[in-house]
Amino acid sequence: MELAAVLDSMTDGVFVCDETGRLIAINPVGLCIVGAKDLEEVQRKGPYPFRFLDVRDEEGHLIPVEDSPLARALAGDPVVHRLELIDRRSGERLVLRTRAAPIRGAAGEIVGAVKTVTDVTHEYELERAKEEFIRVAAHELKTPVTIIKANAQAALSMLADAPAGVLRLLEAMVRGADRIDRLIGSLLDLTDLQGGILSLFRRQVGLGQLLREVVEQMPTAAARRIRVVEATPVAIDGDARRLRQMTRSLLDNAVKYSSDKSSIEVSLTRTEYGIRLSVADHGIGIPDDKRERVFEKFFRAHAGRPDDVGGIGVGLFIAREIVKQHGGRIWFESAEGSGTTFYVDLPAAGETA
Amino acid sequence: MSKPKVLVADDDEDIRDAIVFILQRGGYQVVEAVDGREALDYVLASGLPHLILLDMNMPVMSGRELMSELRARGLTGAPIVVITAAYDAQRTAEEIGAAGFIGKPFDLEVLLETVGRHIGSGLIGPIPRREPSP
Repeated sequence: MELAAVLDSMTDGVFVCDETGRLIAINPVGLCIVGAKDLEEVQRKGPYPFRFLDVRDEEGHLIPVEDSPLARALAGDPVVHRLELIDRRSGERLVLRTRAAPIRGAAGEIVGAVKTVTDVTHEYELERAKEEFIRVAAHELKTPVTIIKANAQAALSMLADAPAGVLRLLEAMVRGADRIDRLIGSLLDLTDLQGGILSLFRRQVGLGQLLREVVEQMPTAAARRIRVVEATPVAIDGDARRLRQMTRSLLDNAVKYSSDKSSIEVSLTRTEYGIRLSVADHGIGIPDDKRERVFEKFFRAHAGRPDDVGGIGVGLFIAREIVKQHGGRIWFESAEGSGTTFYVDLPAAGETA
Repeated sequence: MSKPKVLVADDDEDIRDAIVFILQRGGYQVVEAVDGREALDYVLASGLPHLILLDMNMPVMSGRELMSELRARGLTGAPIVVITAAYDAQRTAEEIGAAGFIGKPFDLEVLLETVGRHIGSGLIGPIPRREPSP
């Protein structure tokens, strides 16, 4: 079978250039993507096939010619998977997944480069639509949650003298609403992170105070198990709400994956490099074979096991992003059957609060 | 002395009811508006209340629009506390120059505390300049 016939029938666009970057072969799908009728037309337009088109990355920044996949490949740096956006003159936007690799001669020298391009516009748009749906749906849920919580609290304030049982029912409604709110928050965070952004609203934050507040806001039974061993009053330049969310995630996990009778120790200490938060439980631990994956999105180490306590598996994923955005790191030590300790190191601002 | 007056503008009746209930129990006189336009009409007809509790997202006239209408008329003598479901309620409040904010869903205690703190405490500030990003 002729190689040219194979290229012609490929559903991916194929571009081949020589060592100077001059295009020497292109298949029909490639022509269609760049909007040219033949190789000569593309060659006339410049050394790299996309030079006459604005090629942007996912954030909308123009990709300079020297960073184009073929140029990178010619420099010996293969491009494995990159999304590129092209606005056609017709106004149509194409989303392409590109790969490029150098072509080497007998002695290993680079004699050219080959690039393949898959049109993923449809998949990309579906993905965006899905994210948008999640964002809108999550946001819409905030109103009914507010209604449940505000009205349950209003009833509570009216019924101060009611039997304890009635108050417990209403308090449970408030807690339920708070739980839905946290789930909504996770969904919104996920859609933000999909776009690669988790914007921080930085202010001076007193971490010792923050830690005590988060512990106080835990459900009573859980709060009783938590021992604040040390809460050094240190301040960092950070997003209080995000840091609270991260701390709450670690505490929620410690509570969820340990027995109701066991204690949980938290501490906030100064270290050589900054500030360390640790949350230690004496619970079921993380199985050896699951350790690498606990920070992955939607991963739940105990899914489908008797000790599965539910959740959507994003707490630690988001916590890690929050820590990362603050210039810190998060890790853990765990022994199956005896407990897990999570550590968060954050750079200190140097001042006390 | 008469009770301090709070104007509550929120398009959701179920939320408004709870807010009105708790404010009345907290000793406030409460006026309700179902959108920014109704709130503006009230202020134009009866003058500024002691505080405006303002939902951001409303039909007809949003909270943001109401604030610029009030500013345009020089009606800046009442502190405004915004109620918003936006993730960053505090940032939203600072951006539009509100005195305070309450994030949805809110605690009624926090609502009372915030209203108490801001009532009679200040005016609508100017829209703050954005801090240059580092």
